[in-house]
Amino acid sequence: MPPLYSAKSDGVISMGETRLERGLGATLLADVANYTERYAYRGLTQEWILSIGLAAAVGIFYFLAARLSLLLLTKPDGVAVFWPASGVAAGVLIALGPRARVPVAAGAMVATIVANLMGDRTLLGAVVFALCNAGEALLAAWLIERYFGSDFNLGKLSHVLGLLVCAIVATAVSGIGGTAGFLYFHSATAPILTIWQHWFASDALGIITVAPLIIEFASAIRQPPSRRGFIEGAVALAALIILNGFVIFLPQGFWGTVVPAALLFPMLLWLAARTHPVFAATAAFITALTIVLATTFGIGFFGDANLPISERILGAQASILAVSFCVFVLVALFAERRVHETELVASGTRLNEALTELRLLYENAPIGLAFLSPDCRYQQINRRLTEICGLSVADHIGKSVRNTVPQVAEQVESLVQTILRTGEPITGIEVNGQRTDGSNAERVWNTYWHPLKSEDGAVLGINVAAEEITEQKEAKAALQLANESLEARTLELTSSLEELQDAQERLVQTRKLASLGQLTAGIAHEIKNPLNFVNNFSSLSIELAAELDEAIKFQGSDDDKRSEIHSLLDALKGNLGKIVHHGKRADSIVKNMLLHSRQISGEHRSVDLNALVEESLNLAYHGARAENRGFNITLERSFDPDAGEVNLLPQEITRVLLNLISNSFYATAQRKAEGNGGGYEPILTAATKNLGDNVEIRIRDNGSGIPPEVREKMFNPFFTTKPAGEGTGLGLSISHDIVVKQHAGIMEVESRPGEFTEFRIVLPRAAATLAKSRGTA
Amino acid sequence: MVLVLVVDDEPDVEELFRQQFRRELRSGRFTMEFAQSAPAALGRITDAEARSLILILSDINMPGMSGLALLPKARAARPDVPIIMITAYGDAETKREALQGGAEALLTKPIDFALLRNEIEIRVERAA
Repeated sequence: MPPLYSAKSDGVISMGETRLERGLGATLLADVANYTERYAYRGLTQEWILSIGLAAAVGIFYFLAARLSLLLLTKPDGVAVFWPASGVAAGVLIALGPRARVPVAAGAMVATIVANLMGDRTLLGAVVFALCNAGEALLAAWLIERYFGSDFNLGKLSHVLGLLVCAIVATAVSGIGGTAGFLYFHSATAPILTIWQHWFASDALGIITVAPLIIEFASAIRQPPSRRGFIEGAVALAALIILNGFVIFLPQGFWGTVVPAALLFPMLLWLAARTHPVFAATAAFITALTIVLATTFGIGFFGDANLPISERILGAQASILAVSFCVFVLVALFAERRVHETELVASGTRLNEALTELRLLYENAPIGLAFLSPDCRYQQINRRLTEICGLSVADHIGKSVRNTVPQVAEQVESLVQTILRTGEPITGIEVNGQRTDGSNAERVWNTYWHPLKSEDGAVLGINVAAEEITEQKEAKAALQLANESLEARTLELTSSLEELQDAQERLVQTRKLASLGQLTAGIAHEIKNPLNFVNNFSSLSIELAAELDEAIKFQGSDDDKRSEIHSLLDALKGNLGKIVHHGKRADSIVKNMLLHSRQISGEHRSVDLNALVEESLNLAYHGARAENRGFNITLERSFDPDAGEVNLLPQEITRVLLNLISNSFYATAQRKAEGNGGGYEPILTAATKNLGDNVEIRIRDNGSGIPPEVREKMFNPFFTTKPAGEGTGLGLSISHDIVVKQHAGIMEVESRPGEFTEFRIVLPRAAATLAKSRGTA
Repeated sequence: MVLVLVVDDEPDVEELFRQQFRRELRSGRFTMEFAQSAPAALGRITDAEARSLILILSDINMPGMSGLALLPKARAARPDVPIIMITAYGDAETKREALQGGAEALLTKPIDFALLRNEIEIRVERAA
């Protein structure tokens, strides 16, 4: 079973689902039907008890109010001056809503009838008045709910005005019924309009002064005022009551009119402005009651006997209306103001919260943010951005960029000037982090510069955003480093590969030479033996021919014959001489061929390098002088005293040096011959140098030089540029083998034709060991 | 008369030596015998007639038994007779082997006959 009164979450009491759009009569009928239907089968319930209780309470209050009013009847027409009972019924209906209609109407009707019958009224008249009173309350409440909904209170000016209008409409209508009742059942003597006017005025005032009191009383029960508010309201009310007492008993006169107003209105203003509306409503009611009492009992200003009663009634009613209406308007205005204030405060709070959120967002943003004035001063900056220079946020505000981060000031000022000039943003500028001590923080930031413009387009300042890109930078640098290292490795690999290819070529060449050497050795030995015989026998034959010549001298033969034999023997000796010469030449070739393929001769031993070179120089020079008396050359020596001892095969290296030096002699002689000796001075320089684990020997001459095409082939066996008979073409080839193969050294040549030739030999100090370990071929 | 034994597989060696030392041979200062192989040489060495043998000149590179193989055998048969090796391969290794095997000297081809003549003269003088 649904409760009769249900309290909504907002504290407003609503009753069922009554549609306000329905007419009053239809609504009332529907309510009665609803009651009948609902309780016909269910018997007495709590709801019934509540309804009956409500009806009884309304009836009692209505009755008391009615009795009070009837006591205060105005004599000519018997219509009450002030009918607060109408306010009781309408107020309870408005406060409790449509569900209270039946009990309230019933209570009001019963109370009206009882009150009238207790007076001098007839039963029929009492019934008519009861119907009018109940209808009036129902109409007023229905109109209120129709136009203002169930949540009616004095907090809105529109509601206050609405209550006035609804009260006027409802009482004007009920006034017609009431006037008729007076005319037919009460034999009134006053004019019809006056009766209606009195009914209308007293009922309307009753609703306007009492209904708000009940409505606000219900509201105060639902939402009680604070203790302090209650005390204040009670004190103000007490003061008002006392003042009302003064008003009543003040003597009549001009100041008697002014003083009540002057004293009452501040109190009413106080109550309206600061206390719960129930206190203001009570104040209005008490004031109205005071005026009625004064009027009725001829006390004070309203009881001025000099004025006709009708005037006094009208004055009292006007005063009640003015006071009540004024109080309720004030209550509404202050309430509205309070609501607006509350809303303002709430919106202010929301704004503050939003601002706080924004500020937190700004301060804790993971990117650096700042706002710069056009003269490059920090208006705002967040913590993240201060990491650029290490100063605090507070140390930035109001200060110029030049004062805080002087290292980037020029860059920043230039950017700001550009933006001020163009009005366009600038993005993607890299800034290095700076410390206060001027050092670089090794952090990099990518910055964005956006102008903040006013409506007319003027630049108010620059918004700066900066995101740190140190990690990206570092990653990029690391990648670049890795790339460079990779490139270096690739280069190394390429160079290793090239070295490997060179080594392979050299190996192939060495193998070729080795097999050629073996072949040469075989051939040489085969040739050498017969050649020995040729040489030996031809030498012997020369001796024998000489002996024969001697023998013939002693033979006494024909002179002609003898001279013929002599000439023949001479020719024979000449031929034999040529055989010996060419035989020796062939022998020399074969010897060299054998040298080329021979095994290492001699022993490895430590030798003073400078002494070895010096010895070779002397040998070569004197050999050359022995062959050619006219030969001469300037020998220059540039020996490194630290050259020290080298472990090598002395005979072999001497052979190499002799080879190179004699080649140099040949080249200088050649150049001298070419240049016809004009000012040319042949020079040979021999130099040594300590290279730590290695030693270097240089043999340099200022001879004819080596043409490029010769350089390519000069280490090949049997390659020679000398005329036939002067060179075998094996000297450099053998020398190269000795240095490179036997000593694991280096032999290089540099030359400029017509200027110089320089051979450079590098030998390891432990040449012999190395050569042995490599297994020299 | 003292005897010099020359061992060489080349037949012309005999003629060459006879011509080179023609004066010594004519004067009877020494005689020369020639063997064209190592085994032939060993036969001569052990001959009773070879008692006057004062010097053996031997080539190294010979078919069959080489001069170096002959060396210890000849030394065993006639420890008193010095042996001079003659070779076309004057390398260190050959020289070492020859000297270790008991040879008195190693001469390289082409033979320096003046030197050889001197060597023979020394032996002849010693035998006399």
